Amino acid sequence: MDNKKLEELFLTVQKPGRYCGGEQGSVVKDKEKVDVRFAFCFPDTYEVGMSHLGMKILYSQFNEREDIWCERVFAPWNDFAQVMRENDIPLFALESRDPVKDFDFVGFTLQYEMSYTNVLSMLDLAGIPLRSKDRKELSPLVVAGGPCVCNAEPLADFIDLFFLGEGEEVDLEVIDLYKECKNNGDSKEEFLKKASQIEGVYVPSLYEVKYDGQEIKSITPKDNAPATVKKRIIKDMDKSFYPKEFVVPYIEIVHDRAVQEIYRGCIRGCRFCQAGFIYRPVREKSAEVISKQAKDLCDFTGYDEISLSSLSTSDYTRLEPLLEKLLDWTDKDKVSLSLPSLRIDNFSPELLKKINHIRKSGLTFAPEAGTQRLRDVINKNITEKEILDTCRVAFMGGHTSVKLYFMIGLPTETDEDIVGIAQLAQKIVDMYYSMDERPKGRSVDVGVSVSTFVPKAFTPFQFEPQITREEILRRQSLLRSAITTKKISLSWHDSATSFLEGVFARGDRRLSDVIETAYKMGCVFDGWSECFDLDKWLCAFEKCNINPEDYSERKFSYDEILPWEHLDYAVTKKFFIAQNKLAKQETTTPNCRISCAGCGANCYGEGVCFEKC
Amino acid sequence: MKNVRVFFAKTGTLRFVSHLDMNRFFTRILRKSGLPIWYTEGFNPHPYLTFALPLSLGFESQYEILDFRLVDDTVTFETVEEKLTVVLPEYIKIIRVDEPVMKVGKITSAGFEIAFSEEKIATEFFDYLNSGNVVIEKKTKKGEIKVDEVSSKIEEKKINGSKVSFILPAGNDNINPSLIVASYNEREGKQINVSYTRTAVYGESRKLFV
Repeated sequence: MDNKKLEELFLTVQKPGRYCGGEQGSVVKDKEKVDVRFAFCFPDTYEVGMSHLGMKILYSQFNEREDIWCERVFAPWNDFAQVMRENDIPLFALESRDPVKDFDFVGFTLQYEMSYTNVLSMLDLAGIPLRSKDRKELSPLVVAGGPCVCNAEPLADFIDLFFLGEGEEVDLEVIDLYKECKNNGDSKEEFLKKASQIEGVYVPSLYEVKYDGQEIKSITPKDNAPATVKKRIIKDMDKSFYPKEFVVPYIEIVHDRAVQEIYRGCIRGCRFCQAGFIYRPVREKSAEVISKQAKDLCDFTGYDEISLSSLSTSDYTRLEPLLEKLLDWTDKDKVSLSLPSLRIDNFSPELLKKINHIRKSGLTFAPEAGTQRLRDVINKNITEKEILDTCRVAFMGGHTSVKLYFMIGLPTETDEDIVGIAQLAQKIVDMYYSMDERPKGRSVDVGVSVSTFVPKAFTPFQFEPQITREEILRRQSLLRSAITTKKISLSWHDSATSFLEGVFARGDRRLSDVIETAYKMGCVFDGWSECFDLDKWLCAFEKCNINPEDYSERKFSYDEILPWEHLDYAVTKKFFIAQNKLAKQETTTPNCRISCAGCGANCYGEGVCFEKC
Repeated sequence: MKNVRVFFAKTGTLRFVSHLDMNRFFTRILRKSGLPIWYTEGFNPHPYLTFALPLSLGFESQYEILDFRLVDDTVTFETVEEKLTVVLPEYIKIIRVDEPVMKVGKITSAGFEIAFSEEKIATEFFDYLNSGNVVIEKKTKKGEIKVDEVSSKIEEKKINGSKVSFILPAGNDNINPSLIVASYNEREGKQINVSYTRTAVYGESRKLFV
């Protein structure tokens, strides 16, 4: 298809800026002069995918190499997907507009379970056979990375090779091996066998899974593939690659600002949180490196806002010196600084003063549970007093609204815990009106945002069942009736979506059929409420003779073989079992900086495990 | 403080960038240029910039107008042009940088050129423009549809091969040329694809807006 015709078609759909490419910072190379073409696919819209930091890092890093050309691909929204099908336009990469099926690598990043059908839709639009076994040639190789890889078994039949953990090193090792194999004329099978020997590479076709009813009987490696695949990490964050340039979109994206990573991992160990375990151990960048990288980024992109990125900003060991350093130039350059992911227990008035100095924005905290008992179960390690004190500080600083995140359906939750959410929010409202220093003449707004607990692989709650959909609805209405003031505004995360997440988060390979069936029935963009259709999904499960509740509502026993048993994210199963037992005893575990809980992440010999106190 | 008016052409990929997105785009471009931009003095200081006349999504333009301010009076217009050229993408070409003469509110009309795929269609369309019965449907802010016969408002009609050009009211009373093409399509029962270019913007007495 010639460009003129294609561009005419852009104008027939919403937001053509999603498809036209040519943004500042996008990399165009001569395809004759590169050895490897990598299509970096984000299985969601342009606006979501372009906000993702991992893609920015790997895009720049791959393109630093003269022999690799990495391009971006996003899931076309339904209107353009239809236009593509009607006009026989195969999925193309934004930089060259060349068909994705002609690339050497088609690499997906798997950030959330609800994007799985989009992976299939993108392969299908590209004209690439969905199943790994139906792709006989060495290229295109369909590979995937990202957090969902820690249990990507539901996608095992579609993906040739998974990257476990951080991609900066292992991705390039695999690309180098590919170059070698391509020159040797090796077959896809030969390449995959060799690749499986690289640490951090998981080739699902080299593992045979046998089942025994709902449980797994055995996972057996073949062709010398390792019995367990260990995730990779970058050891020295100061020396790790960080882009000086971002591709700067023309259209407004979800996070339309510069993003500066400050550390990886999390010291906390909240028992429901997958990110808190799979990114361990905590490794920080130095304040000097952060400030320099952030300045370079702002200078290049022209962004007037920079956001610090980590799992919990206020856990950065030298946050105040870092802010001083940043404010040195951000003030002068009129760049505003945003600090997401602040924790309640180390939110000081000094910190608030600094943020206030920068920009007044909403304050969001995540107590997660309404009672102290349940917060101890989930190891949240914050007290009601800390929550109230933090809100008091915020109100004294002139804020009149706070937003609180909670979860329902957590293990051991009772009705008392649900009502506790309403009571906690009410206490915050009452405190506001009891304060003499509150902002005069203004009403308070306490936002309560409630999602549903989804048990995830590689967490202490990986064994726990999810509550039934009926029970989710009952608990939601219980909470609704417990809130009696308009000063508290309540919002929900859709329960049907959480249910499906619960199925896939602990799913096995047998779900590959369900995903393909659902996709063929028209399920795409399941993370978008306007597209999500639970009935279609339930129908797909039925067609495949699979009962979704067998996955989401089943209690996995400590000694059964988990679908992800052959993957090693450094934190041991033994630790998760011990943590699960402590949760049942309502006993908390101190964070990594207070004392080592012996999770296993010290095996890399780096990070917080070896910090000098 | 120094007022600056930049005249530029917007073509290629940039036609997929909407008016609102252009605003954010130029904010970043001005920041990157290193020019001493004047910032608003409100709660969230931001560069103050105004586009004289919004351009529809999908249109190219040979004559866009952007106003902003510098805090330093000694910076020359040549310097502004140089610094902007360095950071602008290939699809934005600066025509001229100067001090604003006319007021944005005095814009009266704009010139357009429509490119058709064939001369034959261009000729038929041109005949339609001269038919004395060009009825467009405009959606009002309330969502009602207003029907208007606009023949007399289409001025200086010209045809050159497969291209048709004319001048339409702009500023306070606007007619979007795509509405005329839509009415033609509807009358003919066709779905022709055309491309639009805004060629000029005029002030009072049809003087080029400067």
